[in-house]
Amino acid sequence: MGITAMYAAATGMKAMDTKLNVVANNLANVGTVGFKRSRTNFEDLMYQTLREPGVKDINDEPNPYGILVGLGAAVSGTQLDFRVGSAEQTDKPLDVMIQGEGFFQVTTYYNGEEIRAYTRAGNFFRNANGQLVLGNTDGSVLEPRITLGEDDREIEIDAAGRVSAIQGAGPDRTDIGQIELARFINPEGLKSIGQNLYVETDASGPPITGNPMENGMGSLQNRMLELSNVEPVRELVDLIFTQRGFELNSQSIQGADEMLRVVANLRR
Amino acid sequence: MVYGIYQSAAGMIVNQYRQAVLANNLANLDTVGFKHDLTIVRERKVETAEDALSGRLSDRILDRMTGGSLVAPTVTSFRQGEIQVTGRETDVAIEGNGFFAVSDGAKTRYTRDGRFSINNEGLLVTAGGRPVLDDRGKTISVPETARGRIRIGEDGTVRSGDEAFARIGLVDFADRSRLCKVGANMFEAVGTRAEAVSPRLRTNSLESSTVDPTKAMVAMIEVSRAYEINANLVSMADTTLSRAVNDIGRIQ
Repeated sequence: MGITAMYAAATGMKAMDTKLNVVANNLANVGTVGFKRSRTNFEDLMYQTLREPGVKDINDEPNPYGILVGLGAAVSGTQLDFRVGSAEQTDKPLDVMIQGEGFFQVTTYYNGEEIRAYTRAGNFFRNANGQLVLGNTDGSVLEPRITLGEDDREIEIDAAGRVSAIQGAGPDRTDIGQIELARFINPEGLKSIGQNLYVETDASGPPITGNPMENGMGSLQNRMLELSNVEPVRELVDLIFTQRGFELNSQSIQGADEMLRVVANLRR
Repeated sequence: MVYGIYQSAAGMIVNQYRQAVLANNLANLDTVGFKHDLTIVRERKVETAEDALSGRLSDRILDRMTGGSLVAPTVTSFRQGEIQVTGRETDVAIEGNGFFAVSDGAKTRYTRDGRFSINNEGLLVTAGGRPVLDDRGKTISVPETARGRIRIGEDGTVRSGDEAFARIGLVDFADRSRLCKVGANMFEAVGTRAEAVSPRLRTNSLESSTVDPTKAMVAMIEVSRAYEINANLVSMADTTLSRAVNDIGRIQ
């Protein structure tokens, strides 16, 4: 059973290690536009029954309580936290922030396949073809596609997602396209694939798409960006606690090891 | 002589068990809603008493002593864990007594872990994905229009806007020691009935684990030393036996 203690402590260390990784990633993304922090969820593992409840004791009465020893802890999952990050006024005409629920939809490549991905980052650019693309490494193309002409000037994106510009001499504005958003029954079930992108999973459910300000979607704010929702203070407290938890569990292992040493030296 | 060696060995086994329980407690230092187990040891009766032969002492001297120590049945401490504010709307902590009822397959199990979310079918579920039950024992389905914007009140009502559409059920047990841990932050009730209690919840918060690292570490040091002492006593008994066998009994 000294061995049970060792393995239980090892599961604790492994769980703390995972949490440390998650916290480190959160902190690394403190300046990533549209980043959502993750939380590590723990649960206790199964219990080993040394004696079943109900076994009769010496007075022939069934013992109501058994003897159970837990086998440690495990990470039950990491959970995305979709609280809105703080806003930054950037004054760039192609920066958009979603106020409320919803994700921008983009096309990206994942495992060699072209797929639909979702993002909260609204730092858009124009690519060589004039299309609106996300400012990530791949330049994922915004869907439905919006193509800006060469002489489009003074581009505006309104709260409802209509993209307009002044073409030629002006001064009238022409509608160029419409930004659509997607939302999910369970956004926490989305899978992060890097580059500020999420993809749908069975847990998130299928996307529900629509225009901003309709159907429960948030509204758009032009010339603003949603910053990371990581709070450094909270993460640092988590970091300290996790580090100490890791150390405490290593003490359990040392204790169990000491016991084994005592056993090994019993007979001299 | 041989009697003493078994008592010391029993002492070692009991302390191994205590170490295992402490290790599990420490491993769950950061598990939401975790309740720590106590390491309780009980006195073992002498063999004649355990065999229900009392009254007929087999050894006048030895039978007046105890038979060493045994592991007592697992006792879980159900004291309130600290409430930590997380700011997440569907995080719920229970203040005072009570458990959330969750549906785990065909069984109903109980938990203090209130990290709720909405799954792809629109049900309110725990972090382990098990549906949370309402005050009538039914699963809680969140209406399509309310998804993403639900709020949970201190009395357990689940609202979207001003409209309450469900109430989270909270139960308690007359004999809480009959709750068995089954892992995944859940308890199973063995031979005790759940009674509904009125919820006192703290929203945007979670109840942290009740494990006190200081107490656990001190207990671990104590266990370690008790183990060593018992092991030394086994060695001493061994030495004495060796004297008896090799020195006193030597034929010259």
